[in-house]
Amino acid sequence: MDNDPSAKVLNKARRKEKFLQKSKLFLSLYLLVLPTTLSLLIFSYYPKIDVVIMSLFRWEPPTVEEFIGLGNFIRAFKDPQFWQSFQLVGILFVANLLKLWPGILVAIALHRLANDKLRYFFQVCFVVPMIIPSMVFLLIWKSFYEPEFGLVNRFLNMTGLMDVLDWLDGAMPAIASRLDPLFNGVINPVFGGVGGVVLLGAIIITFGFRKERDPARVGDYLWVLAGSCAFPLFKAAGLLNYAQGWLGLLILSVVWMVIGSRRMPGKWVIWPFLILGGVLVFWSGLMWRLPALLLVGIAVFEIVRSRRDFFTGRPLITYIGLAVITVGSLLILFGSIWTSPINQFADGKPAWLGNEDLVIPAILFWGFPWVGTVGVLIYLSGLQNISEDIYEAARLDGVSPLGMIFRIELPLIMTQVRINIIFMTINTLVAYEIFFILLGVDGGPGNKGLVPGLYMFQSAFVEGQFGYACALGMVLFVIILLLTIINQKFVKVDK
Amino acid sequence: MKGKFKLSYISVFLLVLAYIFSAGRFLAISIGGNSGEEEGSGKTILVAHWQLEPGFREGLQWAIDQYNELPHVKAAGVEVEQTGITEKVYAQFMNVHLISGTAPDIAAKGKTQLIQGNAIAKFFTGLGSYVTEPNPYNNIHNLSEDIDPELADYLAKAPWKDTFVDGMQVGYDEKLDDYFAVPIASWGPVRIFYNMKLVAEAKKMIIKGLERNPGPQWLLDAWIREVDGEIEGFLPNDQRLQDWLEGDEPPETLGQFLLFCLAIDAYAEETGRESLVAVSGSNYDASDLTQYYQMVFFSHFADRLNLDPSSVGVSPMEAVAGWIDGDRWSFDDPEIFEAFEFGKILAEFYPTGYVGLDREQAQRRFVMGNAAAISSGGWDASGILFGAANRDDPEDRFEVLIRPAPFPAESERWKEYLPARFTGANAGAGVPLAINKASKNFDWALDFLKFLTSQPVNEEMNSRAEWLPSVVGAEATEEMKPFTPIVEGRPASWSMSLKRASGGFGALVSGQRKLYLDGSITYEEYVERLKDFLAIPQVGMPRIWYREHQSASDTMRANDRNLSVEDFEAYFFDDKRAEERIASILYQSLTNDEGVGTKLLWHIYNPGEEFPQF
Repeated sequence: MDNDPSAKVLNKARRKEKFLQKSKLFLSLYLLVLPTTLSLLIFSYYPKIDVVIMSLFRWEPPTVEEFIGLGNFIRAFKDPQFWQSFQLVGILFVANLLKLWPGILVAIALHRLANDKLRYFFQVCFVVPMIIPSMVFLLIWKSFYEPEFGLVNRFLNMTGLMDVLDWLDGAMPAIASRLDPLFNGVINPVFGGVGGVVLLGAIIITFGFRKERDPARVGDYLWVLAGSCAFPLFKAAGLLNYAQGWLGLLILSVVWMVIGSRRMPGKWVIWPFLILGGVLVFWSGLMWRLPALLLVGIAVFEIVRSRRDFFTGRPLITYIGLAVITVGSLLILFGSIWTSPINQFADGKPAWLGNEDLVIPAILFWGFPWVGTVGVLIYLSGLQNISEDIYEAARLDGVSPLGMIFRIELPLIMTQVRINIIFMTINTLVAYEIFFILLGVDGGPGNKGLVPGLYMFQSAFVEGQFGYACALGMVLFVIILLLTIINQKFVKVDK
Repeated sequence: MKGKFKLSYISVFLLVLAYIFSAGRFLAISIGGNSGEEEGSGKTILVAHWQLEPGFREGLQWAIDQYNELPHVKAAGVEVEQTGITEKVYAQFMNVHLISGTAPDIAAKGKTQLIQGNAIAKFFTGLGSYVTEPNPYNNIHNLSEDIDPELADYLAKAPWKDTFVDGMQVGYDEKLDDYFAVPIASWGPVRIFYNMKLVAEAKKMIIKGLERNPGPQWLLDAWIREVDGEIEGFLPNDQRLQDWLEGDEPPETLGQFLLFCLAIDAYAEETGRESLVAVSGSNYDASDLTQYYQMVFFSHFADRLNLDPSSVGVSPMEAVAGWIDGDRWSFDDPEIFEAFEFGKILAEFYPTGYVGLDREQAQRRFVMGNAAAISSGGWDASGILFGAANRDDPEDRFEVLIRPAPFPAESERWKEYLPARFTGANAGAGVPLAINKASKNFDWALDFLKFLTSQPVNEEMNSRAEWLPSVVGAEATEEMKPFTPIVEGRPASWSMSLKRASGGFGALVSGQRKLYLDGSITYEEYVERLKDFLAIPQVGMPRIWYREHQSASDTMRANDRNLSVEDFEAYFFDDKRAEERIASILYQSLTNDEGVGTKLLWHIYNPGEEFPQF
């Protein structure tokens, strides 16, 4: 019967009828979406595509628009001011990761309010500040930081915290000078700096992710070590003084990454970033320290895992890594940051925006208590999706209210946390308005507040080099993309 | 539950209402804006500017109201409106609207990069022969009654451009040989505003100090003397000082000014007024006197540096190259060293952390009586004078006198390095308003500008705004007379500026200078940091040379393009004006050397070396 020609014709007609019906539905759906899509393409995508194109031009409106190929990118890679501007971004990134917490805690507190009306009231209170334009917010904070009449100094003087800061201004440099022998005698010669200590901790933790202590690990070790030796070898051979050398290194790195992706599907991604971090840390010193640190990490893994299995060994390795990172962080805190007296607190009028040493703390403190409306609402929506059964089961298991945060609530809102981390990453890298308003277009005293976004703004609107600014923007885009990939890979959403 | 009223319905209703209201208003404005093509129907002329200082908008609004009431304007249904845009975003506002063709009919020329070079003709209308005709609003019957009859006759008959204090130079474009903008006010150069209550207190402190024996340390430190071969102090205790102390005037010489600052600090300490400072400085250039005086200190090298025959002054590139490549000057030269020493001394009289303070904060401090002096231009006079005279408590109000920044007398320190101020002879009028090429109301816009720049209207408008007028015969108010440019002085083009050098060097100079002035780094460290930056091949001195050459080439190419366009217009459209413009552009191009001068200078400073290429 299937071979019956009339049945075939009938089937074909039915299929055509079905297709036409579906097409009608799809057509109307596509037509509904078309205006938004067109607007998005014209007003959102087209300017971005234009940026990509114009980054290949020497574009200085209104008279100059000359194609120069990759000239702007080569200049960007060799521009020390651009790369130095990332120093502050690195600090801000770490600080902003910590600043996520107040929003999370406030959302949890709101979520736990028993009274619905009270919760709604607080939600409205959090939303209302959104109507204040960010420019006004910045200007208000600028007045807060005024040395003589600003709220910050008045509060510090009233509460006695200014005296505490004055005391710290003496104590911290004293501690730093006591740590000098440790730095000069051990940290710098062995680890190349305190950054090396932190890097070692990260390497140890990363090695700890390995589940099986199988023979294949040797190949993985060799792969990682090979990757870490590329930079030192090229530098020692003087190849990094030539563009061809850099190109060769780039090709080698890509090949290395392809090999890694085949060997360790999904787990290889962190290693390029660790090795890049190591290169940046050891750039001005002995780069062979990087393979040496990797060997230490391997040794820790081998020793621990030879005595323990994955379930008991991995936490131990993680604790060892965290301990090393903690030691590194404490060394940074006490030995690298406040190393000389600032001499601003004695008269009770520190110039937060006018002193080179206080600019960065002022930028970090800006926005206190760091409870962003959008973040709180996003977390709250995630928390409200958690079923009451889970809370009940946790209570029955004897989980404390504090334990609920780390075992129940935080893991279950990781999707929202991840979204906010992505937004935070993007904002940290591209933001410039706060620095422009608070510090001026040159980034304030000693150009301390010069971040990549502000440098881009300077290049475009002060120097008139729009093409170069586009290229800087493209480089920033690539960096943001890479960080987003890490975020997606490593901020686990475990339901 | 059915029938249960939900509160959220109210919010939805409010949302829909707000949407309908805004959409309806948008439609109404769009429809209203599109009409006006026919005679007699409403036309709106929009005027955009960035002068948001107190008084200016009010003065301009008065002029607009007067114009809107004129019979022929009313009959035509024309209405002029102004819109003030904050200076920080004015450039972006104009860039967007010029490109989209939606710019206001009249806009203040400046800020936007789109009109640099010859591109102004792309967006704004040349005034052509209109400027050579008399201004009809200067009709002799309209002029002020007390005006000199000869002047009145002149204003009535002279070409419009010749009725301006600067001959409408600020609106003239050399390359295009045409006038594109009409100045309606004058900004007034930088002056010092003095709190006369505190000036009196300072004089009392000085007199009291002079009567003591020995005098207080701060007074002894002020007397000029030589210590171990170094000059210290500022002025001698001489008759000139005594005469000044007996009078009511603010400081007349630089030495007196610095003594006044010391006295204010002493007064603040004695009275426990911790927040009182001598000078209300900030990161705003006009309120930073150290920059004002530095320009004069830096004006002693023009004869060694100005080697580019096509330019009058010393370009930033010539300045930087003269130091780093040419050894024509150095930071060890006494003029340069003393400039920074002077800056450091003066900055001690500024508020703590002044580099983190902006213009508004500096003015607020002065108006609140927490500073004895502040410097700024005429554009801030209205706000400062109003603020000082209208404090809530009458006892807090104080008289403000405005004087030029003082220079050293013969026997005072730094006389040889600060011989005289820069001349104001080349001061131009300001707030140049240009007519948008896309405007459909050119005739009315032009008519309004003529009205605005007639002698009686310009005088009254600027009197209300407390600005200087831009028109000959218009009198400034008593408060604004101190801003009248002083003709005697040195040419400003002799000075050299490192801050305006291209690339990141300008920002570095500015940022590191702040560190030096507040004592965070030494002079040697400051110089070393500048040198280190200039030594970087990609962004340092080689890049500055390259950019200078590139800029000259770009200008030449732009001129060539314009010549081609004008040639085309002259040939195909028999445009007489095009022929005049060709002559003008050709003449201008004789001074463009396509960067040859830059390369020659490079070879003078770097013989045998190849010019930087990127």
